[in-house]
Amino acid sequence: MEAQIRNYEISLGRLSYHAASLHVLLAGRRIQRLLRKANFRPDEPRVPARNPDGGQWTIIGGGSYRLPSGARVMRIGDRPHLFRLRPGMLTEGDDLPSFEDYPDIPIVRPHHATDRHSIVRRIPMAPFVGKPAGTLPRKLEEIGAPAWLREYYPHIDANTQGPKSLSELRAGAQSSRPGYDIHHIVEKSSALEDGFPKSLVSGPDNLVSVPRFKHWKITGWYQTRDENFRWASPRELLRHNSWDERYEVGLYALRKFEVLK
Amino acid sequence: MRSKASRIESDSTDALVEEFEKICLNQYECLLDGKIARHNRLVDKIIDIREELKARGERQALLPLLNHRNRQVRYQAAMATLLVAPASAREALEKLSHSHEFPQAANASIALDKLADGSFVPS
Repeated sequence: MEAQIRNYEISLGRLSYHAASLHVLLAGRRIQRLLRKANFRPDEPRVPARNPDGGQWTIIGGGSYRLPSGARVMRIGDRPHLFRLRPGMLTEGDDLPSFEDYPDIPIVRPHHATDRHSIVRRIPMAPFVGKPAGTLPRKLEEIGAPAWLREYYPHIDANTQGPKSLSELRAGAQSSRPGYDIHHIVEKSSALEDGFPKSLVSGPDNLVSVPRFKHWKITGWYQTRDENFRWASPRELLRHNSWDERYEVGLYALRKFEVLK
Repeated sequence: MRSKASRIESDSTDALVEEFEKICLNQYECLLDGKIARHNRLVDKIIDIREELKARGERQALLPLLNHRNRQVRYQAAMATLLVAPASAREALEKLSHSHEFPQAANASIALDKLADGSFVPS
């Protein structure tokens, strides 16, 4: 009986030893997973000592790469690792947004789409309008911008395209393309609420392909109070207007946002 | 606690200009992040400050903001000074309309269209 109890004790001891090992193993895996998620690599280059950000991780520099002038990755307090854009990194010239308008871009992809969009929309794109497709994404690659931005290169490229003809915009609406949205020239929701038939609202004449970021801005503009509209919003003013009047304003907005020629 | 009207009336012109700038910067952020309801609430504050400066005959105090680094501040300052400094205000709107920075470029361009066809008369 005593021997049996001792055996049980030994088994229990072994079991608790195995449980502890398993615990350590799982903790190690959890750490590995977190490091992988944070894109940590032990061989990742760091900003050299005697630099204001000495010892901090950098995704650029080291190896055959050189740290572009002013570019750096920095950790500010307990905030995530940030890639800081500076004037002059994307383009050269005087007519550029000031430092305050540049976004700090986290190295790790923000979990929420709204956070990602808020960052991407702050990247100065105006100097690249009308330049060949791929110019700004190439520039972002050159300066070592965080890799998660790549998923937004189609949006950035679409946003820097020049205006197109109405037939081109309509043709674009025949299929879905990355970086573009289908836009209703006459606003869909308010038109349906005001009793216009769905066949008209979603008909081919009312649909155009618009760069996603401009689509969001045009939708916002419809709701924005402005002195141009006696401190009301275009949406409020258009209520109870005819289809043709709404259509005219829709085309006007597309021209003013440099989507339509 | 002072009412909104008495607060504005007792504020110095410099303080009102500073507040105007702050509100515009706030609007800029709202427009970037699509927080339109918040932007629209700030419109009333802009109107209050503009009315107070107009009553004091001191709208010129907003002119330095025509060269502000932020495009929403430049836009609102231009709209507020069209009557007192039409040339400078229109020049600011012209520049904005060619900036490709939206929605300010679109709004500036619309204002210029409306000024040209007389459907918007600054007061």
